[in-house]
This record gives sequence, C-alpha cells and structure tokens, in this order.
Amino acid sequence: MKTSIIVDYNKCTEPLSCKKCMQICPGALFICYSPDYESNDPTEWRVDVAFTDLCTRCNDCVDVCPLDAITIK
Amino acid sequence: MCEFCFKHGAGKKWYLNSRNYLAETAQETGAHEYIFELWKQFEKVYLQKIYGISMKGPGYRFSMPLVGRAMKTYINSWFTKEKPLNGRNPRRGEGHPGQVVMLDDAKKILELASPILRVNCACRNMTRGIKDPCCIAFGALAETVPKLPRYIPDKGAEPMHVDEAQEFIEEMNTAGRIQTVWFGPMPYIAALCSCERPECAAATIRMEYGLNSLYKGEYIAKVDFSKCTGCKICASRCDFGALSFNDGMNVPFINAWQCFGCGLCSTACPENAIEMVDRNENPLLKDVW
Ligand code: SF4
Ligand code: SF4
Ligand code: SF4
Ligand code: SF4
Ligand code: SF4
Repeated sequence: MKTSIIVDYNKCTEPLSCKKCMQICPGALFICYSPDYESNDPTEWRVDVAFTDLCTRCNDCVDVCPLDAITIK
Repeated sequence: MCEFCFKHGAGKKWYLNSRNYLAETAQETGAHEYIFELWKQFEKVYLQKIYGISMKGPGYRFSMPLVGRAMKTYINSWFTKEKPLNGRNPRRGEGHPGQVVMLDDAKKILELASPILRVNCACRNMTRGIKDPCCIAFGALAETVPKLPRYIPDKGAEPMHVDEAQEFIEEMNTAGRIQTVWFGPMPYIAALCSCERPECAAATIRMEYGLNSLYKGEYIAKVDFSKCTGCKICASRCDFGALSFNDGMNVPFINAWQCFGCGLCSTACPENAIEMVDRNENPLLKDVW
C-alpha cells in the first residue's frame, strides 16, 4: 500500500524551531528544506518526507508533533 | 581494485593517487562550481525529481518489472559519469559516487589532501536538523563551504592539521561512524565523511534501493576463530547487516557478500581477531562493489 505523509504548512510554520518529527523518525525520513536555499527567514523552511515507501507507519511523528500537523494516509 | 582505481588510480587505489587531490584537478573538473551547486541544493536533490524519478517513494517505481530495472541502470550511470570533465550535472549527482574506506586508508587520505576543514554534515543537517561538524572537506569543498552558512560549524570553519584530523576520524570510528571518501566530481576528491545509518542519504539509497551511490570498500572482514574470545564487542558495530553474532558457537559470523569493508568490527575487537582482507584476493567477490 502506498503511504503518503502530509504536513499541514498552515499549522507547521517554523519547523526549524521544532524539528521534533525529524529527530524522532526511526528512518530519518523527514527532510527540512527551503525553496530558497540560503533563506534566513525561518518561515520559508518546510519539512517534507522523502522515501515514503520506507515509512513503517510507526506513527511516532504524528504523536510527537505538538501542532497536530502531520497526517499519514 | 575497483573500476575507479583502474581509471583514476595510476596503479594505486583511486583515493591514494595524489593527482586526484590537486587544485589543478579541481580546476579541470570545475569542482568549485559543481560542489557549490550540489551543496546549495542538497535537500532539493533528495526531494525533487532528480534522477528522473521522484524520491517520494522511489521503491514503488523500482518494483515495477522491467521499467524498474531500466530506471536503476539509468540512475546508476549518473554516479559514474565521466564526461564532460567540466560540466556534469550536480543536481543529478553526476560523477559523485563515494566509497567506504577503512580507518587506515582514511588516515592516508588525510595526508594527501589539503586544505582540510571540518564542516557540518549535510545529511544530518537535512534529516535531523542538527549541526554536526563531522564531514572533512578538502580543497574545493573547503573553499566553497564558507559561502554556505548552514554548513559552517558554530565555532567557525578552521583549517585542521593532518594529525588533528586523523585523531578526529579515529574518535569518530570508535563512536561507530563509517568512513567514506567522495569524488566531487570524478576524478577530483572532495571529502572524507564519517557517516552512520539511517542519516546518511547515500547509504540509504544504496542499502534500500540498491543504487550505486556508495561503493563497497577495498577490503572484507574475516574472523580468526582461534583468536576470538566471544566477548561480543563487535556484535553491535555493523551498520550493513553483514555481521551476526552466533550465540550457540559464541563467535561472530560475517557474510562476506554483505560486508562493506568499513572495518568497524575490526577496529573494535580487543583481540585483533577480525582481519581485513583484500577484496581482490577473493575470486568471487573481487567484482562485487
Ligand atoms: S510514521 Fe514513523 S517511519 Fe513513518 S514517517 Fe512517521 S516517524 Fe517516520
Ligand atoms: S513535529 Fe510538527 S510542528 Fe514540529 S517540525 Fe514536525 S511537523 Fe512541524
Ligand atoms: S556522506 Fe556522511 S558525513 Fe557526508 S554529508 Fe552524508 S552522512 Fe554526512
Ligand atoms: S562486517 Fe565489519 S567490516 Fe564488514 S561491513 Fe560489517 S562492520 Fe564493516
Ligand atoms: S570483538 Fe573480537 S574477540 Fe570479541 S567477539 Fe568479536 S571477534 Fe570475538
């Protein structure tokens, strides 16, 4: 079954000051990036997931997110 | 000797050929521009349609019969791309494969490269949001990183002395970090990394998808059962799933097909019971990289 992991950017606006999902994922699947790579504006950075097929659906990221921003389908 | 040694080793291992570290070689390969683009867009390389496929779940595509295999072959050809010497595409990682090296060889590498600079690991920064200055950058990369603030260590980008760098990678090795050496782009050598799984992006795409971003090392671990006391220290050292401890016989077993030659089991063994043997001396494994 294909897994998709959706981060709600209306809720998660400053991932760099949180990073909880990135640090808890057993597979280190989250990636934090900015469309403009040297952007100093923290609100321009986003977390997204590469390699979604490696997600084990452990749900740790969903549980740890303080803003309920992550949905796994 | 792997294919890189034949092409770029001048009779030695590719990473022990001093020519591959020269400023002249950096110039010829356009290493400064290449590395700047690659490190600037590092995160994007993993998220976008970089290898012609989306890295959001490439496994689904690779598992498709025929098409999946063709795609893999196609992607693997990027890593070893030799031409044009100056002008390969950093967004595809063209000419940017790495290889696992043992600590002894890693120390020899540090004697050939200059300048040497410790910079923040790009993979850990991307996946964990942590600044870990464990990547050792050479020449062109060392000169490029100061332009990319997120890779400059908190303490600043200070050049390192050879012995200091050797001591540092030894500490990393003790801590369980795998040493890897990187072309950037081939044949120029840009970095010596101290990686671990699952953070290392190159190891992930090699181990999970079988892509040749990271080659196996020049050696294979072999246990001398007469010396082994069964202390089990080596049991937790293997990041490649090659070593399993057999509780019944009280010795470790090493699957030579799976061994990446990092030597971590060997450097941890208090009895010197794990020897690293030259891969080329094994007729079955000499072409398995
Ligand atoms: S469910 Fe688990 S494996 Fe999947 S992304 Fe979240 S933390 Fe990672
Ligand atoms: S844990 Fe939630 S709020 Fe924190 S960075 Fe991840 S998605 Fe954003
Ligand atoms: S290759 Fe290894 S040390 Fe280098 S950036 Fe990636 S994980 Fe970090
Ligand atoms: S068996 Fe030893 S040398 Fe081989 S990959 Fe595992 S730790 Fe490294
Ligand atoms: S560390 Fe050495 S002595 Fe201890 S179990 Fe492993 S091979 Fe045997």
